[in-house]
Amino acid sequence: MLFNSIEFAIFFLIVFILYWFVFGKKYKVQNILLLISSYYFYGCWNWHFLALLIFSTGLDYFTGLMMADAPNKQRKQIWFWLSICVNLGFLGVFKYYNFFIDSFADLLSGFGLKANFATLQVILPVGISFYTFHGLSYVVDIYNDRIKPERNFIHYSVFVCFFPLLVAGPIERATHLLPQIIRKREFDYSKAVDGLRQILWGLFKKIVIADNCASVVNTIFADYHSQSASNLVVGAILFTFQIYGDFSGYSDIALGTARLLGIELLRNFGFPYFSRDIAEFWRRWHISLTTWFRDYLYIPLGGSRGSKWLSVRNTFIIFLVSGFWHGANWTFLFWGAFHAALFMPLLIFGRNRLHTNTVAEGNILPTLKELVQMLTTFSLVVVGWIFFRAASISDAFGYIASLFSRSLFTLPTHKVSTLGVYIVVLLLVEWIQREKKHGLAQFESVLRFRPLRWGLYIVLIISIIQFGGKSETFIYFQF
Amino acid sequence: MKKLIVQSLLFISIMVVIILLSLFLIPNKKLIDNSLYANIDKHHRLDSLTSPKIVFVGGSNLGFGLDSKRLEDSLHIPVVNMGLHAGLGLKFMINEVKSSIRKGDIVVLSPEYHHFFNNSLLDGEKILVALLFDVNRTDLKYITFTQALHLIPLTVEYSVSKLMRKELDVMDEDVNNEFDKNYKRNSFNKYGDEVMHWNYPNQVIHQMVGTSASEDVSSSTLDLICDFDQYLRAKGAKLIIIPPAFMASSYSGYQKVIGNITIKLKEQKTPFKIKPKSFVFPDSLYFNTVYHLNKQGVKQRTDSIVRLMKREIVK
Repeated sequence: MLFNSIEFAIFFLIVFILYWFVFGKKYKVQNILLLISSYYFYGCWNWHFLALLIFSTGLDYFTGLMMADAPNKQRKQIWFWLSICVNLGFLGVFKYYNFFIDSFADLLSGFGLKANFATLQVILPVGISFYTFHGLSYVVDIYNDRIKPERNFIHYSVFVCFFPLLVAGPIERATHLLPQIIRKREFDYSKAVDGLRQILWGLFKKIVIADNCASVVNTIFADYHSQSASNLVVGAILFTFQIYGDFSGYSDIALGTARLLGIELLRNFGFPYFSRDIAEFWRRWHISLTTWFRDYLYIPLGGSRGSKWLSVRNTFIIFLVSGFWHGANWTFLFWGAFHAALFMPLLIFGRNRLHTNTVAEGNILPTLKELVQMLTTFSLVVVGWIFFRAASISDAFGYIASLFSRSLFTLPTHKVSTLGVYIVVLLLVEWIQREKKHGLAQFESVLRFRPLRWGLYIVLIISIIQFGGKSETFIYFQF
Repeated sequence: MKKLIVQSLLFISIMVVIILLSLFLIPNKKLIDNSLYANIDKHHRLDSLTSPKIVFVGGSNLGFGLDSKRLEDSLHIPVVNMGLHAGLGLKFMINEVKSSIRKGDIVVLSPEYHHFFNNSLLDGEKILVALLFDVNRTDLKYITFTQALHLIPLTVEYSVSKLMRKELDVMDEDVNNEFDKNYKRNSFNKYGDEVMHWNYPNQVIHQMVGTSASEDVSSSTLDLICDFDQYLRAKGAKLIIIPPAFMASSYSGYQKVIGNITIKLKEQKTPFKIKPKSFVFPDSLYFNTVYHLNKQGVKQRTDSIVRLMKREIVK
């Protein structure tokens, strides 16, 4: 059940009505409803993997209790490592087993040795990387005495399985989400309206921008050998907007949906393509994952507390792991390494926290310097996305090599003028809104005259319907 | 909460009004004199014929694949070919002829294979919406409630495409193609056969490399055919099911699916009266799709149907 489908709209309408009108006075019953809805939502993808989800939830819930009640530190450690190993074990088997086996076989064949290892014909369970990370953060937080375990299984399960974030995040923390689950939620009109606006903006980014980019991008990347360099540039830029529209669109819908149910999720995107350097980009792109790695990997590794070398090593590890988290392919690892390489000079020269505010804060337009910085960062990000999108490392290098030809100065043959207009609309709206939480946040202050505001919403809805028939699945579901 | 509901209802009402206005007031210029208008002419003929008559029901495999005059001359029974476009959906094709069937009539049903494993083709695609709102609104009476539910999103989409002045390319026509440019209402003869293409050379045909759809035959399609058979029996009419024409080079990719369809139809006692393989013709006999025969192909298929009908009429 995709967020951009009629089925989800009907499903959510039913949940919304039951949640507020039937069970509105009892948050515990609301939680049962959320859990059943979440299981149903997940079951629509593949009900076989529902058992895995319930097992994973149960394991972390149980180990959380065991750690809290452990008579000594040693026992606590045993439960902690049991949970970590099982969680990462599932992830390893379902997501990375075939990759390691194939890579090892390739390595041996490089030495002239033939190896014929058995690979598993497994389907990657949707959202496994997301719900595993939910569970891991919970277990680590209990182990470090940052939180107390949740003793109500229903409440805990809602934290892990809450349907808006179940299959593609944002990756939540128990410290942020659990307190909202275990207290009564009040309906707030302005928050609900804001949620609806965020859903609308998310649908626009997904259906109008990402899905339309996808058809051109797929054609170009599938046959990059025979494309002109100008077409390849178009392909890389469109993929840059596709992945942003796809993932940030999904996050917007998830956040908006949760807000309609009175729950605030972590912000996942902060207009990353207006970043002035790579460090700022990573503070604005997939924020919940970046901060997760910071808190649960970078800091435990020593963070930036030790020598510069230690800091560099830790940062490199974070980028590589982050790349690898996206999938079992060398392209993702390379993408991570590429960004690490871009980040390192900033880290070494202590300039990685230079831009912590919003670009051109309080101004309408950026300065020339800011514009150049943004364009440079954007161009580097575009190059990185080529590695992310390509089927293999050699394809990525082949793609980049093909960019350097005389055909770079020819006109692209792919007709993308309409799509270009929509991308300009996206950039324009997000530029105006860049100091706010999302593209249509507090929109009544931008367009005070309601008919005008509603007119814009209608135009957005019409655009969404116009392109609704070609809906594609969300890219991040595979991660 | 009350405020949210009131505001939402107000907003939805505005959207609905815009969609309805677009649907009913904006003409679809793309459809002027379009081949879909042949539906009106086919209905005129269907209603004007006296029983017993032979009514051919199906998609464009029939529209492009039959010589009804030849059939009528051979059998001495009036014939009407209702075949127009597979995207109109099997439900609509069946429902639009039901009320015109009388005792002694023979209905020859020739669905495209895709009707058996593609549910959107069962209920109808956007082209049906175009027909219903911009060509022949009287056809709305043939739409069932469940079908209407399926058509609502398509109707909204269609209405929006009109609103944005992006008139829907309902027929997937190639504007540079001479035949597509001239494929209009008057491409059909008085029997309902598309005959204009008889004068055109064969076009480049995109192969169908096989279906990625499940090989399970849609039970909804089978139920629909079974119900139609019972309906006709109750009226004293007869149902004959024949396979569509299918291009030889695409056949192997579909062989398994077609085999399943054949078995399922036989199991529910509404079998193909001609083996599907008999209607698999060489590629040279096809005009522009794997379902559309050229003039020579039409002759061969019509000859087979004449022989079949002679046997069936004697029974």
